Amino acid sequence: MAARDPGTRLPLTSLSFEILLALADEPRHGYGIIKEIERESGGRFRPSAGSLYAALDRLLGDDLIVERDFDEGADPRRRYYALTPFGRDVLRAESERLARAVAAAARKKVIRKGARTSEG
Amino acid sequence: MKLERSLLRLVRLSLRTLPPAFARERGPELEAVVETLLKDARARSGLRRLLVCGLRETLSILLVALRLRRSAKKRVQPRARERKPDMFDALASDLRHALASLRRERGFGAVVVLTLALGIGTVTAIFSVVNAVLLRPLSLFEPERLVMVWQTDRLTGTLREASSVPDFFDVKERNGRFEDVAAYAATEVNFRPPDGEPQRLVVARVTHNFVPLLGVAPLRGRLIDESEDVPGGAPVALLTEDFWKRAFGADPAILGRNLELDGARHAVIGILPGGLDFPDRNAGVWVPLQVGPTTNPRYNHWIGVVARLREGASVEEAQADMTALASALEEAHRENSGRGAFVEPLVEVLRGSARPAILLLFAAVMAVLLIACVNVSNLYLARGAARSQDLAVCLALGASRFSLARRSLVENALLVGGAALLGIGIASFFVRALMAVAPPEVAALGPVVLDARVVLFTAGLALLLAIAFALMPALYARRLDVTSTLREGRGPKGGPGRARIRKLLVHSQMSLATALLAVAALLIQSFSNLERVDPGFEAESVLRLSVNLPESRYPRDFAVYPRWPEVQQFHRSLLDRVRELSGVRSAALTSNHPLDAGFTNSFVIVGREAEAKDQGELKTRLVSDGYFETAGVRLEAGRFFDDRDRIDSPTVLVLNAAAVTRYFPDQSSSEVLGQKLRFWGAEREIVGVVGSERMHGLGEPAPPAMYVPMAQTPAGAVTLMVKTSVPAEELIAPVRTVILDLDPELAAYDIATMEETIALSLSKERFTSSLLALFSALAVLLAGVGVHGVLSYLVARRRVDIGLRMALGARRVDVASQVAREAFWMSAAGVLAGSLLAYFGARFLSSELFGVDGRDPRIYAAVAASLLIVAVAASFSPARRAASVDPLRALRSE
Repeated sequence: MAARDPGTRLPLTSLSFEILLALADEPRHGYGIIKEIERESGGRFRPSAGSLYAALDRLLGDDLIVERDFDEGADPRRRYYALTPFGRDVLRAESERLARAVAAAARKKVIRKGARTSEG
Repeated sequence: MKLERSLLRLVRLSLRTLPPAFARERGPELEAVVETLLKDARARSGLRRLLVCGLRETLSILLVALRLRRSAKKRVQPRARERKPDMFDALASDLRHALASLRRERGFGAVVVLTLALGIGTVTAIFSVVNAVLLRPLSLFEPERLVMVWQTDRLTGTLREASSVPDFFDVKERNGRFEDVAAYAATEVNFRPPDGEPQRLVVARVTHNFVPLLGVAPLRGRLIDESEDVPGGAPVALLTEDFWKRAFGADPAILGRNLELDGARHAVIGILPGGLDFPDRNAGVWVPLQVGPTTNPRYNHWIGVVARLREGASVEEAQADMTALASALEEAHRENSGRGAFVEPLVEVLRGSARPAILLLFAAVMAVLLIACVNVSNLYLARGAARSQDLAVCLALGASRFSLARRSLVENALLVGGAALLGIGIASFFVRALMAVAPPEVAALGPVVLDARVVLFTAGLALLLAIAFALMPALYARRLDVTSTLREGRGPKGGPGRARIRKLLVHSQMSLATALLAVAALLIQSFSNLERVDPGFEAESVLRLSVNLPESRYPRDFAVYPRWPEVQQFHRSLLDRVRELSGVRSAALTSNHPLDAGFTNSFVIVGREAEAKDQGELKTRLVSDGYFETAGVRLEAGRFFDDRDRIDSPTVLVLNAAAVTRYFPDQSSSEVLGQKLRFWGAEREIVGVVGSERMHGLGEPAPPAMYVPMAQTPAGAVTLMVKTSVPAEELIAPVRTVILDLDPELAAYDIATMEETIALSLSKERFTSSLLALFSALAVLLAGVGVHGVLSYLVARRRVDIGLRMALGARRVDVASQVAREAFWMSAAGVLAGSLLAYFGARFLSSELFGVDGRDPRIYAAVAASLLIVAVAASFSPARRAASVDPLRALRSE
């Protein structure tokens, strides 16, 4: 698996990126992912459940994430998702790509270097 | 939460469109997440947010389904190009096309959806009332076989009188057409729950066969046994489920325990299911009636008689039987003179009074919806004209007319579906607002909710509309001549036939709006007549509340009547203490407040004994001194009651003016003073004549009535009336304190100001007339929009003509006034038709009208004038546009 080149998966759709990012610190269930994305975007973006699961399905198929059984006794319909090592590689590669893009934008004075978004 | 549940249902439905493999893998989880999201949305930000969230999730699932299915097809069938496209492909492509074209014509889509949503929303809201009040099945077994057996009184002309106990047993014995006959009476008692203040409780007193006759089974325990339903039988009680939960927290151990009602113990033997529609939804406890054929006199009419028709027996047959029985009883018993029988289906009794108003409202909202639909059709026609180019191109390129029709159906299904969803949202808000002002007749008939039947109705309506609107452009496409359309180029063309259709639409719209406005005007006039009527009493700053002295502590022995020292002592102390309260101008006790129908009594005019048989009965009120002053009833002759009228002083009475007119037609009020009436075993002298109170409601004439002093004729259940110099509500607490001080076990109940009482008595009229006013305003507005649309279309189509006329010397004001004139004449025909419609329809309204002639020409003139003004006003902007036509440019464009 490690032999695969994360570069072939780039660029990610913005939703896929957000999902991988949400899973970067810990495994989450679907609702948890939505909440995390909403929190990270300062409440400005909240994916709908339908598009989330379509994206999850794709990410599972591409081996970027895996399903993980977590606490029993909770809602049996609820499943947890975690990054695979390959998924983490892809996330890192995409983040670097985006960072390069931001740096380029700053060089061309599209944004100020180190500019922060308004909500901080 | 109703909305949340329906949204969830919608989401589940949309989940079915997902490809099976995906649905199996992710469906349940997806559903769980949406559930949580909806819960979040509701908890955090309320209903609007919830609706938006639900619709968004549904849409996203549908889009995902579409995307997944398409990508699956690409993967599995790489050579899809060669495959003949199937239904799903066609539908998907239609859907995409429809979405794209709606996105292009966002304004059109928004106007259509909003217009229809408004129409569908109001129709849905009123239908949910129709559903709750008229369609919801009653909680009784085969209710269509249940009938009320009323008594009628030829002498007073009343149709629905209670029965006497001996009469009931006679009916029961002669039950040829009836499977069974039962009787009931509703009373109120004082009840103190295990923890809390004494309260008022409605008790249904019923014969042992009453509950089985309704076809109701107990939830727990058993029903009343025949042996318990005899005079002096065991005191037992059934609780209704609601009361059981409310007062005892649904404690099952209540069975077998004792319940204290007015201080008397009753053993609880069973629990009845909640929400029983009859005899009284508010009754918390049911006890045996415990009467026998000889226990009560025949002249005392206080029980209701209900019967179940035998299988196959008709109401008419039962009526004939009961009429025969009534005349036999009239022969046999002096007390029954003038009494007939009236057999009425129970369903009619429970629902009849609300039906006309509700059906009227339903007709009104359907008219509003129709008008809205006409506007939408107009939009379609306009768009059809603008689109004829596109259609012609499609046809020229080989698209089949069928595929165009299908596409238009999909597009309309989207529009109307959106409108229906939005409409249900509007309806759910509207229903809540509606119930806040609904009259008790509606509110008492059960909860008004958007249940499955309502949603189904709305869905059916939406489907019908979608098909109807889809047919319009499709018809248009059928008639489209490809070559000429392509040659002519763009622009609002359309032959004279199209203009005729549009004018016809305006006619129909105007006539509906006129009819609706006319009906609303009649009802509003009627309501304002009612509000201005002189009720015969003054309601301002008067508080009323009732108490019922339990017999256990306030004995009422009719053998020594009227000497009931405990009762009289209580009355005295209550009045003395209340009159001392600050803010009280006067206070009095009465058996019935002015708008309470109360009871009637037979009587004999001393010296005219021969007439007694045919003179009917007098409404009878027992009132303390100070009553007339407190209620604000006028004195016409003689005097009011005062301290002179004591238990040991000469017995007296006061008549109202209506009684003098009826029984002493040739004498003036002062001439009847000193004459005597005999009833209740005593001769009583007429000492005063007072103005007539409208006891049956403001819309009914005041009945002839007599008042007797309560000091000489005490009663256990009385209403205290207090006239205040401060806002009446402020006296509620002090008066209750006085009552609890006098008797800590006594519940004060039925507390209201007289102004509230009047408002409540008019609530049905207010409800109907204000809703109709709202709907007719909506109708007029929509009709104005319709006129505006058609004129704009006509002006656009005639630019060249107008330019030509102006080139030939017509002034701008001529052009503008011609457009206004056109608006006038186009609407006039509709206004005339609508007026005729309302004029002939008004006779069905007569039962709802008070003091208004349904054919009053002034009302029709006013309605016609206002609609014509609206029409001309609606022509303002098209007229201005016509006047601003530049003749040179208009002519050059040709």
